[in-house]
Amino acid sequence: MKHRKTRLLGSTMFALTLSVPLALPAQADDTLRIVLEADLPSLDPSQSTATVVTDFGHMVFETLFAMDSEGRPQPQLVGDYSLSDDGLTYSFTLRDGVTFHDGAPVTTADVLASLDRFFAKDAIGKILQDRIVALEAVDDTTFTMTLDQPFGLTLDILGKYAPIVPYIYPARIIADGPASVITEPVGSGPFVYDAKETRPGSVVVLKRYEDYVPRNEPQDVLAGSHEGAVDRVELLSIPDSQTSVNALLAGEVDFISFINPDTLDQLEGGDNIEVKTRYPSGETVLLRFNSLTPPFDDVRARKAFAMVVDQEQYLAVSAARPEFGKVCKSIFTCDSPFSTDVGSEGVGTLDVEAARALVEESGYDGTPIVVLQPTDIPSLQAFALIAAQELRSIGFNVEVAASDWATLVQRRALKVPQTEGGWNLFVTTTTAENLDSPFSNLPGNTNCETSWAGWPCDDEADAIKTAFMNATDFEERKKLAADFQERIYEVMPFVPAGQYVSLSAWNKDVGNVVVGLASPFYGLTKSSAD
Amino acid sequence: MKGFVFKRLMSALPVIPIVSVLIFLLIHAGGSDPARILAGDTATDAAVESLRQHLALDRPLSEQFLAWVGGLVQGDFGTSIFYQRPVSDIVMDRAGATISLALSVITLSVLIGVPAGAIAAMRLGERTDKAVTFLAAMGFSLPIFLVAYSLVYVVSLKLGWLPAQGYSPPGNGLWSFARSLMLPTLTLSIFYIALFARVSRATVSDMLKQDFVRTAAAKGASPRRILFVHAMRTSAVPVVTLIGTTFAALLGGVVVTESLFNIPGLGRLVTEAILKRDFPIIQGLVLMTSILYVLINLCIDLICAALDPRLSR
Repeated sequence: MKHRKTRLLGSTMFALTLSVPLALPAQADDTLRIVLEADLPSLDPSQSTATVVTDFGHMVFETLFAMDSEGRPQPQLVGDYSLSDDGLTYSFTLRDGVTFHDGAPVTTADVLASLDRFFAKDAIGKILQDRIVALEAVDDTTFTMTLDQPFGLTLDILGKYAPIVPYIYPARIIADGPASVITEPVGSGPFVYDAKETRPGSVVVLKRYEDYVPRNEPQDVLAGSHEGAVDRVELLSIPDSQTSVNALLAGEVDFISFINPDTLDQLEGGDNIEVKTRYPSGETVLLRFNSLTPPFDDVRARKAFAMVVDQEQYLAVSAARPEFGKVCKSIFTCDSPFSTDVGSEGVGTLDVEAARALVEESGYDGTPIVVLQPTDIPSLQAFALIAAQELRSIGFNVEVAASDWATLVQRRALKVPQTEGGWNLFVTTTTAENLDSPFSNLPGNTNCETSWAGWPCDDEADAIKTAFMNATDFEERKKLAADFQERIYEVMPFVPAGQYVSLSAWNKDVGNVVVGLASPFYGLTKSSAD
Repeated sequence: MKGFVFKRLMSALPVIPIVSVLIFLLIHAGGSDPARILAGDTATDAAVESLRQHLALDRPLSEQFLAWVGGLVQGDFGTSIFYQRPVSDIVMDRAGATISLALSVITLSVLIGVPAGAIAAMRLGERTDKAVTFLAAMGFSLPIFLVAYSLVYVVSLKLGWLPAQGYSPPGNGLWSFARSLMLPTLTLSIFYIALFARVSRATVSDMLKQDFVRTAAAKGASPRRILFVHAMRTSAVPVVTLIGTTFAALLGGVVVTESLFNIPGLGRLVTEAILKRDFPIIQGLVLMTSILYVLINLCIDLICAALDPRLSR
């Protein structure tokens, strides 16, 4: 009898366990949970060029100017501004009533300190700094900037949205100079960083800034109002992409900033899930030479490889479906204002025999060349293998150096020959903001040893870039951009290997998702929060 | 016994400084540069150099080592390069999830695996034994990711009974804490139940062949008494040792399970720290884990000596 009772109790417990409504615990509806593509490596947007840091930065900080959907800089923290008739002196007045999260007003002292930090951190910021004759505070809300000659890109640089972004910080948190790391991210943006609830490496918690003073204009990409639509945002780091998808399908998160292409079918089959790109300009695969050491110190070897780069191969790996990839032979993002085919005739001709002949002509001596392969980033790992095979097809002996990304970036900084631990080629991807004009085109920077890893050197390309920055007429700029591309393809410091769009996924309860050159999270709405 | 404890303590103590030096040398041997990782892919060399100086990574290795050891002596495990928070705070943040998971896995595995193995040993060669052996072989063979994804698909996505991912600390409510641990516990336990079942089957079946068991049977002891009073007690030593080492291994972090269920535990922390080269976290965590291993091994030795006094002689 005792046994039967026990058995009965056990069965009842089991049945209860199955029948008790095991639905998820009620989660606060006014919380927006966003899975970022990676863990936030820093809370200091002036220290890291990682995209996730900018995602965080746009929530907490603000800039003097911000880009609209047309890519034009519009005043953000600045209320009014004027330019003198000679085009040399700008006068900026800050908006009334804007305060930092600690309650202190945003003043010109904060602006000048923040710009100093930006100039020290960012190559494009340095270009502007070199043209400034005087940067002075008139009072707490007005400051002037005097240039040595008219410079059409001044406001574009102040509204730069690619890292490093010229955010305005309280002077007190950056008082230790540009090298110091901000550990207390206090800004004037629509969300306040909550250090207590944040768990590094897992979740960053942001709460709506109650005293935020938005602009009156409606949000237009980064311009206009930045007002938050939900009370709380959690920026999550989930290491496994399938786990993120499971969480979205189960309603445990609201948004995945970038999905793994392999999960597209599953997400499209989910109820109430939207899968779209937020960045139509997408990303471009870059094959980057080390121009300092043999064999790619010889332009003929670089051009030979460019001939056999088959973009379709790279797109087969990177694009979730063929319609999400595009062959693009411009050094600027295709469909962007300056994109052109000028000078690209020698790229991707797939003429293996001609390429082999060019390699021979370059005097390549058969020393194995090193292609860097990051094994912890699947797409880049595959790109490296494709590149290695293409190099072998034209007579190069190739050694694929497999390592994690951390080791790769370490080795990539070495300027010595591959036989002494250096490298010859690496593959990466970059977004439109690092490509779209001669002055922002990162791989097209030919400032020798101060340029990006690979260190190409060409005064002529540099001179065209300077002329582009000085030009004020769009048609003139367009012509100079074409000249720049033509020259870059003569020097061939890198080869573009295809353009593709990445996809984001979100619950259909989430609204106001911005599609454009930037896609900040602060304006996202959640219908269940209404 | 006191002498035994003292001896064990004395032999364990030198492990700590040896491990400290080894960790530091191994981590820095590759010449990795966290500043370059922190600065990001498109950072200029000047920006990386300035960051390196600020983080004191440009100082000689000996100076960095002395600073680290100096901190350790005062109980300071350093500050994370990336998170800019004390390592001890970060580890404490993460330890709760890992300890909870380790305890629940050990409890479930011991409660099911040990009796299953003992029963199989009692019925050696019979159907029960064959069933236990088969299930244990299955438990060993199933890849964790397959078990995890299958459970999530059925239990979370199809039935909606349990969360698909995440960890809810006890402070958020005991029910949600328990629910957040159920699937990861089940996933990990399948392997450990199999392990405990096989080990206990082997040790109990060995014991059952011993002379003292035959004597007990001859004296008229019931099979249950023979199993629980005689055989289980003497076969407990290898099982206790296994429990201890398993617990230590689980505390060291179960990276795959923590990643698949998005549990912010120590396994994920150390993996992320290694990938980013966050030296202070790696050093601190490996050192803490080593100390934990030493302590757990000490406890195992003491328990085993209590179970079988011959071991302390």
